[in-house]
Amino acid sequence: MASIEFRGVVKVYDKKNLVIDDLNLLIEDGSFTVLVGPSGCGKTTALRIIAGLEEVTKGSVLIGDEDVTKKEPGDRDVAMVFQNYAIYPHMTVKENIEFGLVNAKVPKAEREVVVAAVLKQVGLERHVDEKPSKLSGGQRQRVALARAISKKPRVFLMDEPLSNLDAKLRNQMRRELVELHNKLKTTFVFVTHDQIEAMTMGDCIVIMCDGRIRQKGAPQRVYNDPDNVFVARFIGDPGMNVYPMEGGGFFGFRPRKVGFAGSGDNGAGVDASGDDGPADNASGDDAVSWPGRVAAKEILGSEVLYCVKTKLGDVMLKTSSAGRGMDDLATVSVPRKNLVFFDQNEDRVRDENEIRRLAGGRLGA
Amino acid sequence: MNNHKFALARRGLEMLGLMALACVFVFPFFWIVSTSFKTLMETARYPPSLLPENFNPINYAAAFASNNFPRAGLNSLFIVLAILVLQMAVILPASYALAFKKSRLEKPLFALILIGLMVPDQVTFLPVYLLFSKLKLINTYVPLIVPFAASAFGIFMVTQSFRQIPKDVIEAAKLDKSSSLKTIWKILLPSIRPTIICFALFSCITHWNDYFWPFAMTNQESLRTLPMAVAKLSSVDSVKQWHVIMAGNTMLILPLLLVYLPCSKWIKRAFAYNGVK
Repeated sequence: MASIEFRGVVKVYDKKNLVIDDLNLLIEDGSFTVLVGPSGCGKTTALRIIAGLEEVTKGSVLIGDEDVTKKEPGDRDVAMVFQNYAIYPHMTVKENIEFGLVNAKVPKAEREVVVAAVLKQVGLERHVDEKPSKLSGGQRQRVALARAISKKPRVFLMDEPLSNLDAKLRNQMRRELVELHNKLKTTFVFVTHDQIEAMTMGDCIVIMCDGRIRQKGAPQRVYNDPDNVFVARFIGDPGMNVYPMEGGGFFGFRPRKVGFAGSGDNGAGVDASGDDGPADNASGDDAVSWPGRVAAKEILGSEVLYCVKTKLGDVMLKTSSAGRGMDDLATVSVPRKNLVFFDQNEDRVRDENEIRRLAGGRLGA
Repeated sequence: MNNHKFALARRGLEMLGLMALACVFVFPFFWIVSTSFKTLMETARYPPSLLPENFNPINYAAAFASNNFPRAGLNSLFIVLAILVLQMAVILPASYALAFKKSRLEKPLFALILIGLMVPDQVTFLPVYLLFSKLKLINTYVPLIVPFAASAFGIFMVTQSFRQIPKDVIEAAKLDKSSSLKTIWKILLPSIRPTIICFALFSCITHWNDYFWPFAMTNQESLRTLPMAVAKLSSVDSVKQWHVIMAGNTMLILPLLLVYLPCSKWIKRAFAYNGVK
């Protein structure tokens, strides 16, 4: 178990492509940290730097209190699970797991015990002597997981390990990984481009874009209190509605925090991650509204996702009632307290006075 | 229904064509073996007989007893195996570097190797001969083996199959504390077994059959290889002993066939290899 620290890490590929720009990040001991961001944001590179598969151009990496910047991958006491499983195709399940243990000179008797234990843990006891080609995608990923667990590393690294699995299995593996983390209490670093994965699994989320960290925090925190427009739009399904304001700057609101004016469902039902409960009737003085027309409707089961065309642009709206149909005229309405504001640089504005100044009737209403 | 008949007829024609083609390839071998059992008289008869009247295995004894035949066979075997071992020792690390180590030199080096693939022996043998003669190594095994240690063809083939192995697998091995050599030996080699077997066959066949190079590099009886011993069968007497020559040829071909036949499926696989994705 160990913390991980990036100190001023810069990574440049081929002397011209800046992938990671001055990364300073502390990943806490025992945390389940998720690096999330769109492709090309540097999250995988950051992970590979921890593993030692990628050298840093500048800066240093610490695991525990030890500077591992120059250490070989095999000497860093980390284990990694890859997107494409990366199990050895010609070896049986057992041999796959044993390979690293043999290299680490673990005695045979101990190896047997470890292999049996990890296979039990991932539920593959009956496949000990099978070749990977006989296994399903989910089983292969379990082999990779078992191989990682068997090494009892200080740090688990996972590079989009679930993205090759089908949706059902992915959900299941998600839960299993969280359980595994609770059991092992080791530091997990998980890379994904899927914000749902990030939100559901991590206890700390690091949102990256263009080689920089845009926000770091607990899932609740980054959802409710985004630091900038990028995070607001990236986190949430769909992300926050964000629009420019006439005098510069931006404002936005979650699809859950907006409702149809004059109907029962106003300004959002209970928000799954809601800090402030359902809004009051949103058509009062404390709300802003925009007339529009329903352009798309997606039934999600218990909820309905609408896309309403207004003069602001497309407004995404998530509600529990399916009352509106396509092309219906509808006025969307948001309680003022549910609005969040950003300045010209797309950074969050939290100061009350500054918000009042920004919000003075320039919301395009 | 008509369509079905048409397809059947077409398939039949295809089979006929393929069988005819197969005969074209198989017949020379059949002729060699058939002639090797005839008597001298029978080989000269016109029209020729397809099968020998009596089987005369004595021809084999005659071929075997002539021209240091056993020694030549051992020479061939030794040279072929020595070349193969050296080739593997060079090809595997070279291909590993070309396929997995990022370097600015990688592309030019690979291109250079490809160019090497296009230069025939006949172009290089003279400078190579002069080199070895200056080193006083002519009439040893060295010039028969060492020039083939680095096979451009082999490096090309193995590099290409290494490149098909997911990079993740090698990285996983690195995290498993595996050294480069161990990764090659334990992870990569088993993954490209079809390619290795295929290349080994090509190499063995080429050097087993090679006549030109040993002929150019040696002039001592004790160093001669099997193809030269067989060739010499035809120049001993004024009358061509076809039956003995063909017995020699059969003995030359047989080991190759015995090795090749069980391995032929690997050759097919080598050109259609895909790892576990």
